[in-house]
Amino acid sequence: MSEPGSSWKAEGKVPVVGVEVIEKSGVDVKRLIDKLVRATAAEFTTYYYYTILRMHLTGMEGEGLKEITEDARLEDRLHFELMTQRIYELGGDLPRDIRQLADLAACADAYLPSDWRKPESILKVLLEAEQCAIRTWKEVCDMTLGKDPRTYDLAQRILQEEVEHEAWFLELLYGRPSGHFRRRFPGEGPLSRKSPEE
Amino acid sequence: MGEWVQVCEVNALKDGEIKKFKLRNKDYLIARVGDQVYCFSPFCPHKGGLLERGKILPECRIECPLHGYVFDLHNGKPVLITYSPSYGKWRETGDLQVFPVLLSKGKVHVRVED
Repeated sequence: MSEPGSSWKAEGKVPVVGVEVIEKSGVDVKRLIDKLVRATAAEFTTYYYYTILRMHLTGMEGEGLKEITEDARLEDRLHFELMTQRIYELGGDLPRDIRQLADLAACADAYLPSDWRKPESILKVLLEAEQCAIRTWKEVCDMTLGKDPRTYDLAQRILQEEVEHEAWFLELLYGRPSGHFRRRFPGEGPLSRKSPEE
Repeated sequence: MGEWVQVCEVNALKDGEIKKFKLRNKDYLIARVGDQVYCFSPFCPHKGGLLERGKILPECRIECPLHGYVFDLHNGKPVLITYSPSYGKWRETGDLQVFPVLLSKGKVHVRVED
C-alpha cells in the first residue's frame, strides 16, 4: 500500500485539526487509514463479485433471490462511496492501481462457485462475504469508539446494513427469521446513502 | 536494536490470555502460554485483523479472528493459511511481528523497536 496521503504530501504539511484532535484522543491514524482502505476496498470488490453472483441466480428459484442480492450489491457500493471520503479526510488515499486494491481488500474475493446452478452455493458465498464485512467494520467501530466520532458514525452505519444483509442470507439459507422486508427501492441504503438524490 | 522494558508481572497474566500494552505511543500484545510469555504486534500481517481478540491455540500459536490465519508465536511464521491458492496474491501473508521477551524475577521484560 502506498504511504497514506502520498498523492498530496509533496505539497507540504498543512495542519489538519480534524486529524489532530483524534490523534490526541489516542487514535493511531496511520493504522486507522490502513484499516479503512482495506475495508473500503472489500466493499468495492464485493460489489463487483456480487454483480457476477446475481447474474447467475437463474431459473425459478433464483428469481426471488436476485432482488435481495441486488440490494446487498448496491448497498455495498454505497459503503464504498461513504467511507472513501473519510479516508481522504484523514489524509489517506486509495491505491492508484485497482489490482493493488483487490489484493489488499479486507475480505476474500466472492468468487462464483463452480456449482452455481444450486442457489444455495451462491448464497453461501454471499453469506461469507457479509460475515467478513461485519467482522471488519466491527473492528473499525472498536478502534474509533469514543475517539473518532465521524469515522465511528460512518462505520456503524455500514455495519448495521451488513448485519441486515447477513440476516437476509441466513434466512434464505437456513430459514432463520430475519424480519426482512423489501427495500423501498433497489439498493436503498437506508443508513449509508449520502443523499436521496444520489 | 531497542532496549529491554519491564511490562508487568508474570503472575498478572492468565494462561491463554492476551493483553495489550502501550510503549512510546505504540501498541503491543503479550500472551502467556504455560510458563512462557510472548510479545507480538496487535495486527495480523495478512489483512490487519485485531489480534487482541484472537485465540491462543496449543503449541504457542495464535489464530486471527478475521480470516482464521494461524501464526507461530515463537517466530511469527504463518502455520495455517485458510484460503486456497486460487485466491492468488490476496491470500499471501508476511510473518507476524514478534518481539523478544525475558522473564526475570517474576517480571516480564520485552525488547521493542526504537
